[in-house]
Amino acid sequence: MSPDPAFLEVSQLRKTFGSQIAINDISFSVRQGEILGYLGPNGAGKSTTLKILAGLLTPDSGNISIGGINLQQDPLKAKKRMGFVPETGALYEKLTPLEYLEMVGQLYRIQASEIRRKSHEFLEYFDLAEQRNTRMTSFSKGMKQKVVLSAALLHNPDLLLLDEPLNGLDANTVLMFKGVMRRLADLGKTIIYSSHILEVVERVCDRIAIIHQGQIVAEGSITQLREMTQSPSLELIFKELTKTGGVEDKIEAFAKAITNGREANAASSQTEEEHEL
Amino acid sequence: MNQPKSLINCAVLVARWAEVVSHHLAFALAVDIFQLRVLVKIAVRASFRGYEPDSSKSERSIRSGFRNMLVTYFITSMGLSAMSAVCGNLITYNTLIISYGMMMTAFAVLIEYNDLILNADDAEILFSKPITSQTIYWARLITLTIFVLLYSASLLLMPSMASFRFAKSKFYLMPFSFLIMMIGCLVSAFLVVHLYVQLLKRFDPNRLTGLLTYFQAGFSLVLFYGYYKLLLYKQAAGSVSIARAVENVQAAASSGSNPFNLILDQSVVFYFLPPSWFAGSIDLLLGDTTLRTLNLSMTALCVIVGVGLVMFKVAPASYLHHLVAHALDSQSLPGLRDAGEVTHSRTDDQQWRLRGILSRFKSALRSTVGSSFPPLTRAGYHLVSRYLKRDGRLRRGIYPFFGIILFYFLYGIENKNFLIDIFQAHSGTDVLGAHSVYVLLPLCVLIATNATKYCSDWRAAWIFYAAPVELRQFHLGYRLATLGRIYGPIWLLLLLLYFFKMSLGPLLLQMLALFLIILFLLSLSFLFDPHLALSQAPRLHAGFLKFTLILALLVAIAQGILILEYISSKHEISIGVFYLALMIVTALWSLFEFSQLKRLEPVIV
Repeated sequence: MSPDPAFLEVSQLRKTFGSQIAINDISFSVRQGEILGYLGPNGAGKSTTLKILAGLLTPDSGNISIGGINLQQDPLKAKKRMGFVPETGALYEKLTPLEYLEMVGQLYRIQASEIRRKSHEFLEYFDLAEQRNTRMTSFSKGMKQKVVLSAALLHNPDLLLLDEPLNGLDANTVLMFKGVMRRLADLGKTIIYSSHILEVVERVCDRIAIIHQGQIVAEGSITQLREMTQSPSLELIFKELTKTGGVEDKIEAFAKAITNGREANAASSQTEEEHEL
Repeated sequence: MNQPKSLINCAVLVARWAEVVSHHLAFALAVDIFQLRVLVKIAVRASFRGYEPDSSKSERSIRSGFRNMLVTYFITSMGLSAMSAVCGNLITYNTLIISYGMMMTAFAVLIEYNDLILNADDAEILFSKPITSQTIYWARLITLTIFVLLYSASLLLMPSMASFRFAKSKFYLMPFSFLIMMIGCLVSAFLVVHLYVQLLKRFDPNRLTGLLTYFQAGFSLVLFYGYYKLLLYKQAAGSVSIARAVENVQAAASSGSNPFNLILDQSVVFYFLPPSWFAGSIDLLLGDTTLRTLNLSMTALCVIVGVGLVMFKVAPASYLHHLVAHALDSQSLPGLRDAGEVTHSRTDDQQWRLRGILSRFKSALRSTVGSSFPPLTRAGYHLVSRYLKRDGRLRRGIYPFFGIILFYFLYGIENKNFLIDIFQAHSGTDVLGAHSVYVLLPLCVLIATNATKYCSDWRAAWIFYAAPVELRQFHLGYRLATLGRIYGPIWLLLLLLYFFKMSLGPLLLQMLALFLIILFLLSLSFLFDPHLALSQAPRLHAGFLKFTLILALLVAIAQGILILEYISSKHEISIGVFYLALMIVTALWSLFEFSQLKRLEPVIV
């Protein structure tokens, strides 16, 4: 039996900013109903990849196919099938959540009655029903993120590109949204989930791709990555693959910088004394 | 019975025809009409909406935004209408008011450019949606058109009505003449957009934002000075220049006769001014079929067609996409630009060394002067200074007005009667007519105190509340920064200009009065909105009416103080009392201002 065909296929993707290479010949694919965790340190190229997949940035070279549609050749058709949650959580803050969702729904040409129904249901789900007519200028980061998530899901997309989607969300919503992601994948949605919260990635994602300095350095299920690196946890796998060494030294130096060296020195000499004892 | 029915049928047919044509046109331009309508509706709604979070007031707030804008410009336009009394013919009057309309439109578009045309949020919100860049482009262009039409309509309605004092019998043509004026404003707005977009394609957006503010200051100088200078360059004898007309205010007031009869169309340069082309079209509309009018009208028509073609042509598939992606690129790697700047500046060693010496001198001076102020005052000074230097919104709000100030300096140098020693003046009108700087300063004060409240990074204002900021110390830093960066240079330039025109004693006294008036007006205008600098979200059209009313009040107060100074200048004791009173009032009012800082409300972040 042949494996499921890939819903999203990315091949030889490359993007440069001036002389700096942001992503360098990245290739990967994601099957329908699969959640791909996209990990990497700050500045590794995660958001750039997602911006290219969402059609915000044009790649220098490479191909992107979404459900058999070439993003570069037929962007409108491809974009109809995707929902994007940007890292910045950008939205028009002068609008109310209902107005914003109405606008997004109309851009996707959803029926007015359906927009209304879904908007109310989504806002109810995210505990924003009472604020549905309040302008978002006064919203907290988490509240805005809930509206951004609602907008990305409004048109029932087949592909979800989530760049730090849990930013600012409260614990209950995080818990619920993790469940929603798993359920959506079970329903056949394809999800790329970029995050720094390794625990969530480890629990939710079927496969993980780790990007470092613009290149994918490892890709596979968590079991495969463990075998590959001989490391027991995703945290250690990440640390090894992205060469994040000397963390303890950095912690020590930072603490010294904060306390001007006094308290940190005192603490370290106390620890030394304890060790001696 | 049949006639109304056929009329209705006819109207329905025309509407259907228009719908079909617009759909075909939209298809040809790759524009989705439905999405276009949604975007325009949202943009207009957001543009005229204030920042009050109360939802029940949201529609009311949009309406009040519209109303405030219309009322404010309507008030300004009444003054503009009065110009019809000083003009000798229709074409001169129309040229002047269209010039004003076109200039104000161009400035408004530049100041609000990022919100009206190239909003960075658009990229992340809209480009992941199934929408063409042409749809976004045309939606932004239509929003701009609505904005410009509303703006120019409120600005030019009264003056266009007043223009029919020259052709009373043809008042029924007023809507058409008004339309031509508004087309002139639209042409000006579209040209500014086109020019700016072309520059954005070639230059780094951040660098361009910085350069644009200097361009605006230079542009306003060229505009004022160009009009003044070019119109003086006339061939026909007997015509009266604007400069002469302004100087004759005093003579008119004393003699009771009208000295103006301003006629500009005898100057050759007149025919090169774009507003005169539109004014010529209005003349043609009113029945002047001379060759000159026909030529001017044809030029106007060519300009309209040319600008129309440019707006269609510059909307290729990747038009806005390219621009916003460019903005995203520069956001993605902010370090690149700085690195480039350093490499570039190092190419010229001598220049680099000189810069090093200058910067060392500046930092030494800064640390010497700065050490006498508390750290929070220094922080406020540095923060506001840096934002005045780097924040595009702040710079666009403040810098264009420097051009007008510079114009007055140049004007003052060339016109001996411009500056009057207040101790030598013959009448109050003498003083008011000569010291235009006293009219301009309230404007600058109001712009500076208002503009510094809003900046692009207003969300960072939480730091004023999170950190143990002593508001008065921080505010003192802000005050020193505005004095040092905005009023200091103006004051010094004035001192330099007056130095060659007046004897030392009166000069020092007048400069002291000017300094105190600046301080007094700054305190006064701040009290109308007592929020810390850099702490508020930018607004588009909210608060226009309040702004104009405060400006009128400040102008009246500045002029009142000037007249008081003139009256008291007749006697040594009275002038002493005047200066003492002005110093005490300014000091008390400043103290009052600093005490009012307690009333600051937390900003919405």
